[in-house]
Amino acid sequence: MIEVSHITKSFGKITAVDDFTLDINRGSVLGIVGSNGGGKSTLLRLMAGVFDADKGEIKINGQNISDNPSVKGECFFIPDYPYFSNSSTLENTAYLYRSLYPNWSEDAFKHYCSVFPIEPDAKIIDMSKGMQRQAALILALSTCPRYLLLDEIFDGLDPVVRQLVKKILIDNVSVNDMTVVVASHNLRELEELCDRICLIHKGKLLLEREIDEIKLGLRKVQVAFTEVPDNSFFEEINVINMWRNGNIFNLTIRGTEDDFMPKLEEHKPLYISAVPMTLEEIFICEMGAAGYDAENIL
Amino acid sequence: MTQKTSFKSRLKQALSFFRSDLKACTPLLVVFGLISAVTVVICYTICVVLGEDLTFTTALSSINFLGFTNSGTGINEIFQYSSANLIYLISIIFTIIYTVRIYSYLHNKRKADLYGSLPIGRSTLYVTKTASAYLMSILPTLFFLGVISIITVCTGNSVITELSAMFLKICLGTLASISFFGLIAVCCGTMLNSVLMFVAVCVAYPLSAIFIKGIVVGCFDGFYVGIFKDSIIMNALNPLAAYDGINIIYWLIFSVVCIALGAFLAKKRKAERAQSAFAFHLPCYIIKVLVSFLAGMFLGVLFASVNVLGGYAGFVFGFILASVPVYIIVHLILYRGFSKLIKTSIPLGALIIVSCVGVALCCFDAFGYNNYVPKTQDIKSAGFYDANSNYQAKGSAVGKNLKDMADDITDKNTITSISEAHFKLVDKRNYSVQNKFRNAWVSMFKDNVPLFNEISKNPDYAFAYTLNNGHIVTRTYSATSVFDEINDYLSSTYNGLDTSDIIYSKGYIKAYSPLVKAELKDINTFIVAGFDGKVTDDKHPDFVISKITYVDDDGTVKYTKNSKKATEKIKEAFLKDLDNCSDEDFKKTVQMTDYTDYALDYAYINYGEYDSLKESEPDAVCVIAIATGDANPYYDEVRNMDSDNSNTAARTQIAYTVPKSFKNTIKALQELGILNNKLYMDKDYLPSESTSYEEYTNYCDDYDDYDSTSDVYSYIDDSEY
Repeated sequence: MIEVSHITKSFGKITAVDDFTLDINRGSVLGIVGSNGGGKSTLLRLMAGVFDADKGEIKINGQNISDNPSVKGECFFIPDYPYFSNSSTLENTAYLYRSLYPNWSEDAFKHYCSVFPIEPDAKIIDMSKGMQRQAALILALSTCPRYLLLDEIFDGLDPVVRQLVKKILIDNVSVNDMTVVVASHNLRELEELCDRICLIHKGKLLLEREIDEIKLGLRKVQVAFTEVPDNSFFEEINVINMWRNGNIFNLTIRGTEDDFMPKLEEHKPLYISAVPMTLEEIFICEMGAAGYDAENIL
Repeated sequence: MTQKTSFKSRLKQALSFFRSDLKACTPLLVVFGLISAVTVVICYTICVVLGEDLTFTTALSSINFLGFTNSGTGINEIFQYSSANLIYLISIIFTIIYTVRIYSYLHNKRKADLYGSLPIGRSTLYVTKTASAYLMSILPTLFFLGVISIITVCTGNSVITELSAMFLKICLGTLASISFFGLIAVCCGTMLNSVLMFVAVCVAYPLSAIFIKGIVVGCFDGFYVGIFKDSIIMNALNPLAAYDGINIIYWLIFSVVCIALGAFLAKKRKAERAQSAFAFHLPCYIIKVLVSFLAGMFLGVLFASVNVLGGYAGFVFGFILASVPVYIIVHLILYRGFSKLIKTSIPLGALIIVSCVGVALCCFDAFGYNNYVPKTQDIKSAGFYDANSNYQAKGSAVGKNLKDMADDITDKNTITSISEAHFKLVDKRNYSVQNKFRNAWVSMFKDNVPLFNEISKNPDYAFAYTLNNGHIVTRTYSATSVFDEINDYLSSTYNGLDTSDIIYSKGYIKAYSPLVKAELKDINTFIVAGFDGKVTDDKHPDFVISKITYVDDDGTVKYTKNSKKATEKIKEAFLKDLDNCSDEDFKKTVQMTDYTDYALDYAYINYGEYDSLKESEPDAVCVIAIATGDANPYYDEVRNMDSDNSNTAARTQIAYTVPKSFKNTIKALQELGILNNKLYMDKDYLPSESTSYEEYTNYCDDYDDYDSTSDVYSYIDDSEY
């Protein structure tokens, strides 16, 4: 289990992570989404022990991660731009990792080398961005980590490999009880992979729920009123975003149909339609609610 | 809670990192290997092909490779010295490159991500990287020096000892340099800053120390500059000085401290500081202050020495004029902009104030150092050094030797004479501020630039006092400077000093006379000169010499069969007479002193002294003369003996008249067969051919024409040898 409690991390005057608290259970896949500069990568680096928190602490299996080799031996972090030296190959990097990671598996290494289309003795630095990520994944999975921290892992991967990666990760979670934390802007991929989503903006946690719960908890509703109700009505039905064109309203409502439909019906609308939101829509909506001026940006 | 990693596991990790670094640095190692191999082959080829060319051999063998004394002249040694020294240089260059590369994990964000997330402690990683850099620098050098050793052994002239010494120096220098660079790398955010800071500290620190030394020695007359020679103070933060192989203990401690501090800071270091200017700001302050101080001192001392604004004000003006812009420039380089400039300018203000106040205290002699002479009643014991008459077994009155002298004389009259002479010396001084700053330039390089070195190697006068409160006060004075203006001034000060009351005092003779103090190994001349008793109207009365120890024609010291016994016996008897003699008789013993300055170097007393002696001291029986130090006349300009022989005593020459009242001495000379019953010389009569009065007169006329030291030498050479 990863316990993040009241973490704050600042870089000069900028607070990248602000009093952030989060618990991640074993065997789960957590997706971290958020705005650019929201603190996703910083949070991952804090979890990986690359950065030390200014305040608060992060515990993995009950132990503080900071400068703790024994805990780090159970984690693997793939940053958004993984580093490989000019002479790095899968084989010589594996030599280093073999002695560093206690759970290194030679079988896994051979297996993943055969699964991904990469030559073990080829120089990684000469490979494409997507290939480098695959190389990083091979090495990561060969260490048999209990906690895998991935930053923008799908960036640069073709659709086939994306599916392959997702499958491998899900297999590892289900078979090896691996915990995966993925930070990404690719919400569609996260939607398929994660069982929980954490939304982060300006270093603060906006929401953290199971993905189904999030998706079920918000509805996009289009409604045409004959007589427009007061603003207090919209507050009453938990509208978090509203777009109006005359008597036609596009509403984002927090809750299920059971919660708001009866109340809308009371105003005898000419037309009403409620559909579930995609994760991307939820992201924009929640971010907008948190002050992220998505509409103006768009 | 943090779990500990076992030592075995750490070692395994360290080996993996070493292998990983080795892989990463393989191209560099290949380049190092190729260059080294080619260098060795080139040296060997040239030596083999041109080995028979004596001009080539002689020219190369005369080169002192990087301070490595090349005593051999064979082609084998030349190959060994040249190739080994080139490997030495190549090793240093590649050490720098490896080190910069290996510590780059601290300065690259992507590398920081990788290394920060690896399951290895930060301190362990840092120490592992340091060891890795060290091994990669040392092992190839060891290999190539080994190859050179094998070649020299195979060619029949092994110099493994010298190569081993060189390798140890490389080990020490590499260890100190890598440790220090590692520490700086931890403190810096970028590799460029690390390199800049390393170079700046290595250059700025010793130069700053040299300026401080120059000011201290320039302003405090009598301060012995030699205490800075080989002193660790001069190079404390310059690990490249460790390649000299001196102050070994300091450099080992320095390296350990750097590694320990680096490991500690690596643990505390924030990974996000990679690619920012600094991770820890203290070194940044240090380098800004050091470089600004250096620039300020340079311009300040320059302005003051050419009398800008009357001296000290010129120093302040120059210091501020140079230090402020340099501080800003260094800040711009290190911070890549003006950020935090104002905030970090407090040290600059402190630097200016401290430096100007410090220099003011020195040049205005705020502590009264220059004029301080202890009062006679405060002195428990004293010592005095006069360059020509003072025997010092360890060379000269410098450093610890000078402090040891402070207990030599307890005779109150002699102490009073010393104190008075010292007071007269300092009383004559009117050393201007400009002169002090000008002298500071010379003082900076006094003990490490040959031009100045010979001037300052030994003082002309030195005073040492042990006070009643136990404190020791020492002063050394030289009469020469490379600046004419100061030289004239110093010469006039010193030349007017009359120290005869000291030198001809019993206390001084007992403490410093070579006749009393010199060890046999230090004596190059010990002679007794007396009369042959064969004077007639036609024949010049010979003033003949019995040589106990003397310098022969080729400059080597010769000992007669019983020289040790004779020397001891005469010394003992003379000392006994000295203790018992009256003041009147004591005065008779020192009559010959004025005539001995040059002649004794050659075991020679010229004929003119006969008349002088008889005229001034009709009661004289003979003269005992003694000289110590190196006998080689080519080293005459250097009074201290650092020449090839083992004689390290100070160069002294002194002679004493033996009056008839010195019964013990006369008895000893008779027992040794040097004097007969009539008190004439009885043995080893020289010269073999007597001179006539006419020849003698011409001789003396010619002699009078010569007035320079070198001419007297050549005259004596021509006539006597």
